[in-house]
Amino acid sequence: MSHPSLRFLLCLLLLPVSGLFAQQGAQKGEWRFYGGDAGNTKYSSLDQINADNVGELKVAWRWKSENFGPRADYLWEVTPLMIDGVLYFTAGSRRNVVAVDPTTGETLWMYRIDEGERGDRAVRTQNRGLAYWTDGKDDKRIILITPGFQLIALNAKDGRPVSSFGKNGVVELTDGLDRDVVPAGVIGSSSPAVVVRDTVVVGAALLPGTAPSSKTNVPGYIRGFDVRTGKKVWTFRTVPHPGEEGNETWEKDSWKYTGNTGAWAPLAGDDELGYVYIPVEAPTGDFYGGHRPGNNLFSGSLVCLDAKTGRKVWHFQIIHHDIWDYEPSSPPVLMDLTVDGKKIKAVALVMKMGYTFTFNRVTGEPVWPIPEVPFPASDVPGEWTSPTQPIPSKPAPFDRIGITPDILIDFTPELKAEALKILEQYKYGPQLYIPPIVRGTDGKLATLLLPHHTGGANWPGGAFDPETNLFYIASLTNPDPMALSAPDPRRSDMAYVGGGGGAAAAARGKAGPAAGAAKGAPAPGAAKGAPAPGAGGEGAVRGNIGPRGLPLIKPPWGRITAIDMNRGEHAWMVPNGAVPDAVKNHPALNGIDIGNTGRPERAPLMVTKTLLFAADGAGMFNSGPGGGGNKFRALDKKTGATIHELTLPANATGIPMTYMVKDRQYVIVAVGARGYPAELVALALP
Amino acid sequence: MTPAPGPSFRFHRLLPGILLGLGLAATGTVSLVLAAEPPPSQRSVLDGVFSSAQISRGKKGYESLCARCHGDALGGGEDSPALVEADFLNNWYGKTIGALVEYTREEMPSDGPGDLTRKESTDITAFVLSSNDFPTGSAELAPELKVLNQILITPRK
Repeated sequence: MSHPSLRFLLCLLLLPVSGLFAQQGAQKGEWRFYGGDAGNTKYSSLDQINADNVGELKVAWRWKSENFGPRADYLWEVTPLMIDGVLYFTAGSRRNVVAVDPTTGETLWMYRIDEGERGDRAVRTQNRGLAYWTDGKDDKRIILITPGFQLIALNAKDGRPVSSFGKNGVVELTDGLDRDVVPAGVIGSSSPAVVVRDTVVVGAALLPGTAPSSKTNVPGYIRGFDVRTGKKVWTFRTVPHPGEEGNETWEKDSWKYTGNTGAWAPLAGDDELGYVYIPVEAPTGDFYGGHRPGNNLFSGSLVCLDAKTGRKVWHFQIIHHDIWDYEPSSPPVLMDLTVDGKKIKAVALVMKMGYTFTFNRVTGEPVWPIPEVPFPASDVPGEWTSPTQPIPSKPAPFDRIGITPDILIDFTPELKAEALKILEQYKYGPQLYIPPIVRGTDGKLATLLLPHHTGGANWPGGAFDPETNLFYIASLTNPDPMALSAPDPRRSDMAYVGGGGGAAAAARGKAGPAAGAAKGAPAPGAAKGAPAPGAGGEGAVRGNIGPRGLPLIKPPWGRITAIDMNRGEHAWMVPNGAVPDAVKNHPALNGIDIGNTGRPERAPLMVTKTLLFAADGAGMFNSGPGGGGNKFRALDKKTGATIHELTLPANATGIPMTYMVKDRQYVIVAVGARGYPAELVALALP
Repeated sequence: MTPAPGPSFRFHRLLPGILLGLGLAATGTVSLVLAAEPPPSQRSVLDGVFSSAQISRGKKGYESLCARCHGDALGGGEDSPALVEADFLNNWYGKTIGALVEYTREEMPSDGPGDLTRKESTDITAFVLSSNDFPTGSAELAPELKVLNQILITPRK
């Protein structure tokens, strides 16, 4: 095939085929969407940094966030945008918008709004970034969702609010939620909006629902706004009203008061189809659904809407009546597949449970069959259980699901024996969807769930290479003791709320909260200013429930899985990160080689034409004990082998992104650690 | 005693709690809590040691800094522990308010600790303790370690 004219011919032949699909990934060396493109591939075709020279990557500049916002931010989940030679991102707990020179890190402008109480009480202070829109001419807008839940359009040139958008650039997002009053500190968003054609689509995040104060909450409806005027164009009620599809799945009038059911993960858009893809979270009460009998549509669903009208095109409920908090929590990824010779415009959603749900994104038809499988009913008073749940036949899970004695740690016979004894304190089983028990039922502390409701995949999701159709997914393995108890009625009107069942507390009693040594490297008090950046974060403060403070489940505790999405088959899996310090230095493991375990945190992933970029991850929130670290890696896309590893100033807290300006490719990643205020690090070749 | 990875490290700084710490590690229960008999001069959280103004300040601080993880009803969330009832109290019985104030100040919010002043931490602690039904008094709880370290967290009678 080396003959030039033959190659040309082949290109001609291939053109119409590839023309069936829009080009995927970030284009022209820019990064116009949070996820690289509106389909969240986190892919760029840049190739200046490659396997041969990646070892020469150096820090080109750093941008420090410390004085943005009243308190320093440490867990900065941001991924900047790079458009027309300017880098844009949110920074600090007020979510200031900052424009920076992408070659030097020099601040060009910043926008700040003090929202008062509604900002102070924001349900989510994390910020992941921004959305962008242009009319293709001079009108270029940066779209912000504030911590206090307002939608703001800024002129990309100077950061001034666009006066023709909403009221002087600002649109109220707490209106139109079917509640008389929406108090401060109830609803917000941590993920950016997505713009599809000329519509801004906004999701919602609410307070965590483990132990809510009430079965009544604000619903996280999905809304579409005209990107030019800020006018609300449509509302999609994720909790439908009478006469609307799905209302009957909220029995006993529970649609009237149940809230949450927002979409806090990043959304995806398809400009060509004009569709938006919404991963809808769980309804109020993460672990007890007795106040909302029925399947609770559209909670736990992937919903496809026409972005212009809000009309539902299709939906698939991934979890009926969620009582495990296994809700959709990752960005839907749009991918153009060839399955059994057939081209399919697909959307894939990776889940906390370890499954990848894959659909034809035009029709909603599963790419591989997703049969309904029977699961046991809850015996908790008042609870309602769905008799079946959908389980994908393909691809195979990317993380461990369910617990059997053979997956407990067995580094030594003693540890295995202790692990077995610990396991018997819990209700457990080899399958997914074991209902949480009331604390103490049959003498058990709790139901032991695997994956954890903060395990498997989560908002970092994965990265997809549209040239090979390999999908790279980051996940963590950490068991979850979960039990229900009746709350003090002065604090909650729920019949039951979730908690660690005393099990987590028992573990904490041994290994925290007052046990400094469990933290690994940093000494007590070091958090004030000098914890070694890269030491485990919050996850490390929490104890493992396994023997002697070790993990209960065998490694790997954090991994990257590559799935060939044309075939639905795994290509490779590698543990991510070195053995956690507290495990490596554990006296019970003296002289024992436990191999490459990975760390219980999700790797932030970004893929280019040449390399897969990964990192240890933040390890500060929703990770396992000992999760996170300051290593950043370039991996071989075909094998997962580490080509180069470098040490960042602190832990990677956001998904990396890349761009090319003035013939130089940069890789940007947000870093921070407990006691190490967040900053952006730009890496480039010398 | 089970050589758990480090129950004792921090307990050196928390002498009043050391018996509890050993008890927990050894038995996994809290049955030995009462072995930590306070010296006669010591006050306890049962003596009405914080004021209602302080509780409202602490509530505001809690709502802006803590609720997003520990929940609006202090019942915990995601994998953040409850700050009420046995899950919380069993960890703190036998220790001093000073230990709780300093733990909160140094370790919380867990994704970005170290920014709370001792006064803010004392106010939030007062709110959390009040939510656990410990009585309100007329005087403010002074944000001074010397004072705080003299006040024991003991079970309600």
